[in-house]
Parts: sequence; C-alpha cells; structure tokens
Amino acid sequence: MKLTKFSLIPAILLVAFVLFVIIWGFLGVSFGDFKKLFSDGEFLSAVVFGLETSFVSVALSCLFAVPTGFLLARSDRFLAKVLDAVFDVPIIIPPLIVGVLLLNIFDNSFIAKFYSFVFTFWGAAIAQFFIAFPFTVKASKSAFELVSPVYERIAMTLGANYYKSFYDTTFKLAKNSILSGLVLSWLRSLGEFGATLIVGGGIAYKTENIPINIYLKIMEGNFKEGLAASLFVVLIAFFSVLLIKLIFGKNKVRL
Amino acid sequence: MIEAVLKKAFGNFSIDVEIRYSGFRNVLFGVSGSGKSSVLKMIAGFYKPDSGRIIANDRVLLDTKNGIDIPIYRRHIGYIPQDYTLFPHMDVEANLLYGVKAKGLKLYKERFYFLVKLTGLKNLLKAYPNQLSGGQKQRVSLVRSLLVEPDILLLDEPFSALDRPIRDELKELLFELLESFKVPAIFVTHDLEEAYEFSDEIAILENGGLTQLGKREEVFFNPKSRSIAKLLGFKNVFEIDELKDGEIVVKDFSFKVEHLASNCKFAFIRPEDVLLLRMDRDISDKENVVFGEVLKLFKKPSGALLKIKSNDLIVYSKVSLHVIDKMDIKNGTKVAVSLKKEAIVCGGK
Repeated sequence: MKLTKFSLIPAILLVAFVLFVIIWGFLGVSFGDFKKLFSDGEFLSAVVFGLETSFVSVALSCLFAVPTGFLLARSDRFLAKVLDAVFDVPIIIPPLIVGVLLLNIFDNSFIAKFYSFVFTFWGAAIAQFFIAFPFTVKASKSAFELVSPVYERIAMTLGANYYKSFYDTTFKLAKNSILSGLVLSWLRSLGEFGATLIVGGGIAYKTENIPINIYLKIMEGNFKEGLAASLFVVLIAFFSVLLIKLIFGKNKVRL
Repeated sequence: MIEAVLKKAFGNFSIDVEIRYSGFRNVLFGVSGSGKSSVLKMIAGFYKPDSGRIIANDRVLLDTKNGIDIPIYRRHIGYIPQDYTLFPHMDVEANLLYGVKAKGLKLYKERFYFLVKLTGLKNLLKAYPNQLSGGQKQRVSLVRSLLVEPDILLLDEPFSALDRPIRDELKELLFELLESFKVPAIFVTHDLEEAYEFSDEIAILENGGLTQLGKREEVFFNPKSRSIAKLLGFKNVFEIDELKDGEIVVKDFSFKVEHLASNCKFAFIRPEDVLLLRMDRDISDKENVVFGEVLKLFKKPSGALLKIKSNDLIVYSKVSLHVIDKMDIKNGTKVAVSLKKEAIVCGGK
C-alpha cells in the first residue's frame, strides 16, 4: 500500500472525530435553547464585550504585529531569530499564567497611578492582545517571506517610490495571508478565557466575555444553555473563516 | 556613455571595478560568482557601493564623494532579471502600464498597441503572469521597462531560463526594440555566444575585478591574459618557452606568429583556427604543422572537437562533423593540423 493511501485512514478518522464532536453538540440542543440564549441579557452583554475586546486586540495586532512580521521576514540578522523565539513565549505559556503575570504588573502601584487595568475593559483587551498577537506576527512573517523583494525593486525602477512600490507589490501580495493571521488572532481573542478572567475578573455586564459566560452557565448548572452558547461560538468561527476565504480566496496568486 | 566606478566589500568577496562603456550594446561577461550581477544591481541602485561613482549619459546617479545618491525610482534605469519579473497579481496590461502610471507619463495609445502587436502580446493583455510561458513573461517585462523610456536598460541574464529557440527569438526582438528605442543597454551573461552576439563593447569581470574592457573584436581576438582567453573560448593555451623574432617556442615546437608583444608569456589559439589537414595531399606549404594522434573526439551538433596529442603538446581542433565522417576519424587516428599563424595571439599572466 502506498504511504499516501495508508495515511488516508488517520486523516479520515480525524475528520470524523472533529465532525462527530460538533454534530453531537448540535444534536444536544434545540432551537428553543438558542432562542432562550438570545433573550439572556448577560449573554448578549458578554457577546458585545467579547467582540469589542477582541477587535481592540486585533487592531493592536495590525498596528504592531504586522510590521514586526515584516521586520522578521526581511532581516536575516541574529536579532530576528531571537525575536522569533520571544514571540513563541505567549503561545507556549498557559493563558491563565499570562493572566497572573499581567495582573502582577497591573497591580504595581506605579502603573496603577496612570490607569487601573485590573477588572476593566482595557485590562481584558490587553490580556487578549498578549495571547493573540503572535499569530499575526507569524502569519505576516511567512506571508512577507513568500514575496521576493525583487518585485519592489522592479516597481521602483518603473518609477514607484519606496512606499508605493511596497504597497503595490509586497503588501498586496502578502495581504491575504496576513488577513488570515489576523482572523486567527481575532478568534483566539474571542475565545480567550484564562487571562481575560484573571485580569478582567469576569464581572457580569462588565468584563465577562463569551467563554466566561459559558463557564458560569455550566457552573450554575445551566448545561444546555452553556452548550448552545458554545455552539454559537463554533458557528461564528466557522462563518468568519468561510467569509474571509470567499472574499479573499478568489484569483489566487501564484508567487 | 555609462561610467561605473564601484567598490564594495561583501564578507569574503569584494568588487572593485571601473567600467566605461561608450556604445549602445554593452556586455558584462564573467562566470557565475564573478560579481557581474552585483555590479548591475549597484548601477540600478538596489544597493549602495562602499564608494563609487555612476554616470549615465552625463547624469550623475551616484557620487559617494559628493554625497549624491539618486534613489532607484529617479534613476531612469530599466532592469530585467531572469526571474520574478512580472507582478503576479496584475494582468499583462496592468503590468505593462504600471510604470507609465507610476511615473505619470502620457500613454501614446498607438505606440502601445504597435508594441503589443510587435511583441505578440495583443491577445494576452488580460492574462495573468501564471498563464504565460517564460518567453511571453520576458516579452512583457521588456516592453514594460521600455514604455517608461529609461536612459539605460539593464538585463541580468534575462534569457538563461528559456529554451534555445525562444531565446533566439527573444534576442532578435530585443535587438529590434533597443534599436528603435535608442536605449543603451548593459547585458549580463555568462554565455560566450550570447556575449558575442549582443556586444559592441564587452567588459570582462573576474573575481570582482574588471580584467578587460574594449570593443568586441578587440577583446574577443586579443585576450589579455590566460584566464580571459579561456573564458573567451581559446581552448589552446600554450606557455611560451622562448620568444624569437616572429616565432615562439612551445615545448619541442616552434610556431610562426604574426603580431606578438615582447612581454608575452602565453600564446592562445581558438580550436576553430587549428585546421585539420588531409594527409593524402601535399602539406609542405602549410604553416605550423603538428602531427599527432587523436586522444579524444567530442561531437556536438555544431561540430566536433578533437583533442590531439603530439609528444607533450595537447592541441584542440574544431572540425565540422562531415569531415569527421569523411576522413573516418576516431580515437587513435593519426592526424596533422595546422595552426593559422595570424590566429595565434598572446597575453601575460
């Protein structure tokens, strides 16, 4: 048997595993459970809070993580390698521990003098940013690495200045992959639990996001509602990715 | 007129050249790693030399002494590399017009369509680069760079990735376009035949240094040194033991020569100028005759190369294939060759 045929078996099993888990979830809830969910004010407030904090997290990633990815892709210096390893840290530390470390900083009297991050919107957003930005750095890095700098140079020989040549070639060619990195960062932020709970406190109607809401529902014994909320997140994630793929997946450019 | 005086040190390699071209079709010739591509990139402005001066048609593009460094986009230099030439996310038309738009030039529609037709791109304007063949891509690249009317066109082995028939076609097109646009060009290549075909003037680069520069015929028929002679296809390089009046001594042989400077150390002759003699004829009137035995026969479509040994001397001779058949030459055949005296040139080092 060919190796590719052989590896078909584990692949099929994995797909079945994923589908089974999700489908079984949907079988466990009824339409009424979803309806009940959307009349739950605390849940809706958690959705809004989750969307807002995760958008802040993504905006910060756009601002900081995309240029950093560009730097990592273009410089082959020792520093770039070190930085690359540093950006693995937020991914490998458990989110709960990130929360503890951030709380430790925000609790510092010097920082507290300027702004009190603990149990606030910005505290939660920054915690999510910390955990989610490396996905954008890594996606941007590999996106920029795939585009040869020759395109920019050629655009310049044709009269485009530094910024225009970058925007017209490298940026446009890397855009879709960067965007998928941002979507990953966003979904990571939206589903963030540990750090958001520790830093934000999970206060109802104030710093409670969707996963925290789900956790509380289940702790209170409302398993059905928790399950419906979970499946709602699955749907959001699925349709976001699908939408992005539909919009940006067209006329795929071969580099 | 193009002048490039450049010094640049890379880790364990350095470039130090003074190139002055006065004509239109200029070649930068050298083996891979000789630094020719780096020289070209510095002229284009992709990176800066440690020190130097670049002047194109009286316009100073770089002068490190006086702090002048015109950015790439104002140098008016076209650049065509071997790969990565077209913007993959734009169709052919957008690629062609990119420079015209970026520079805000007026587009002469008639000329555009004339060029597009001439280069066979008329029906491909809406195609994307990944739908084009290598030859078509380079056509687009060529037209695109010419549409912005550059002062100089730099070509960095633009055809080396292409198949031979396509390469020949494109060369013809390139010559035609350069002629009609009156753009001086620098063509980088490691292919001897291409270098010869393209050049009015040729510069030879070895190990980051310029070793010879001159008109084509001058360089091709009078290489300065042994290494240049080898680069230029002089397969026969003999160390001169003694230099007499109109004669050189090489090992046990003495050859009549025409023009030799007194500082000659090596004599060169192309295998094409080593003529195979017919043994059944009287050869007493032939010059510089060497009798020997064929050690090895290399056949190519363009002719056969004979490696002939006579005592300690190895001589290469290029002969057309039908002669090989007719004279029934094989390894071991005894032959006689004549070294054309006017074709023997010499150089130092």
